[in-house]
Amino acid sequence: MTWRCILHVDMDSFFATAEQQANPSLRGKPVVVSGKEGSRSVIVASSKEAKKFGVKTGLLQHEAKKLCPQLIFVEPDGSKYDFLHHQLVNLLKTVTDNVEVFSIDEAFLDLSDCTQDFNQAEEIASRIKSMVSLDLGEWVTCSIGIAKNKLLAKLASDINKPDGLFIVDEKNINQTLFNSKLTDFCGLGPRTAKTLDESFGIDSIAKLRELKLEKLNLLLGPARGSFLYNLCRGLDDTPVIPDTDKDEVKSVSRSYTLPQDTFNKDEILVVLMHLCESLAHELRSKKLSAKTIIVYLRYEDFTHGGFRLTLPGYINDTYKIFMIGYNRLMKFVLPKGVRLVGIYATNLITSFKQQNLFPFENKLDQLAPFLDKINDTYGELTIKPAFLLNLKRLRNKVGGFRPN
Amino acid sequence: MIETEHKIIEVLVAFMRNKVMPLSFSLNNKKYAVNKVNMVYATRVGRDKWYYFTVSSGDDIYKLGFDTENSHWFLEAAYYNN
Repeated sequence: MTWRCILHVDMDSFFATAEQQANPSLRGKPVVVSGKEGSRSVIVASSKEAKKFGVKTGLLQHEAKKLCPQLIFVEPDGSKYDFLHHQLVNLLKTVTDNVEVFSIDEAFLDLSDCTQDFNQAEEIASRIKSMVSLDLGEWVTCSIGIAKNKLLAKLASDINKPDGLFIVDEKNINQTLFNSKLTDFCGLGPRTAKTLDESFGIDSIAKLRELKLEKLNLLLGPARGSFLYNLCRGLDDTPVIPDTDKDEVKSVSRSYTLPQDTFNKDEILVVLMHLCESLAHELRSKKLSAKTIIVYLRYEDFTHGGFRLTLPGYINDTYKIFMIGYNRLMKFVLPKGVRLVGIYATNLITSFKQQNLFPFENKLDQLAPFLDKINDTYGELTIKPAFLLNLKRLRNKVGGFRPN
Repeated sequence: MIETEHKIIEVLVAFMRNKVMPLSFSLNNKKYAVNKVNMVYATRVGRDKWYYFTVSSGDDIYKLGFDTENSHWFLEAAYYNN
């Protein structure tokens, strides 16, 4: 059998640890990265000290505060995390070129060509840990999982967190699998776990393994069935895909949580225009145009609504994208207060140029690159639509995004 | 306590191989020795590139910025622990 050795590096509480690295007075204290304290933001990241109180990503601030009254709130600083991410990737690339960036704080390395056994991989993992502390800071740590495939390596990095190192080999593979919960596996979320439990009485890896492939395919469809059949046996042949081989961008989106729930369409439109400007700028900078535009709204009770429009042609102009949202929104009766506004551009192609019907539209298209250049040079919204005259820059949102 | 400002300051630095290390800075006619550089990172503001150095001086933390466009050092924030 061909030798495969995959290493998964997962930064521990990345954003919160970065803040503790920058400000040593936060070290050893329960810290969360979130919007301003008292705002409606959710917890973006929590430090290992906050996690001990049960404070997790996605909690609302008041929920987190109830769990840990002494919680310290730090506002996100995307440039800090982005810079550290690039430092980390550069560091990993000194080990091997076969690095797949999985998210801002996770990466897979394929060490198959440079190792002959897991002991060698363990030495490399220890070296990576030392380099992380040396280059990114003494408070910054990572957990590393080593196994014969990506599925098991990712599972392994979650064992012994923080600052952990775990190897899944032939000796402990079954024990590791049986000790894991269904939701510990990448690709098996709480919704699938709930379906498996409620519909089929499967609440463990052992029970999942009892089912034959045919039965799983019948219950969940061939794709999902095969995936789960392989998962509970620790089988995965997906390759590590270095950045250079990654697929093209499939969609671009922007969203913003309003300071308070609102029925005021003017307020929503101003935010929508800002989001359109930011989204269209990204489309143009990547030389992309979109055929499908989706405007989505999250209501006060966390239900969703919105509109989707697939156009006859492709667009990347701020004004045209905004008008899609504007026209639909003006005809729409808001059923509940709006909490979040988002815009999503998909069905993308590169460098599409359509001749417009009206001459003024051609002028807008010709103007856009110059406006982009000015804003790139002097900062976002240096030149902005008059609609945004009274609006300051919306706060930079930080999530588990995959950086450029 | 956190004080946020954007105040032009003078910083004494050492160039060590490919790194710049702030050694001390002057603020309100007082000189502060840098005990430790906790983190260095960069961000873009339009075409300008700003480097941030979060440094410890005594018990306090200072976020120093360097604007590469005009070679200005500035104090972005101070976190006083007393």
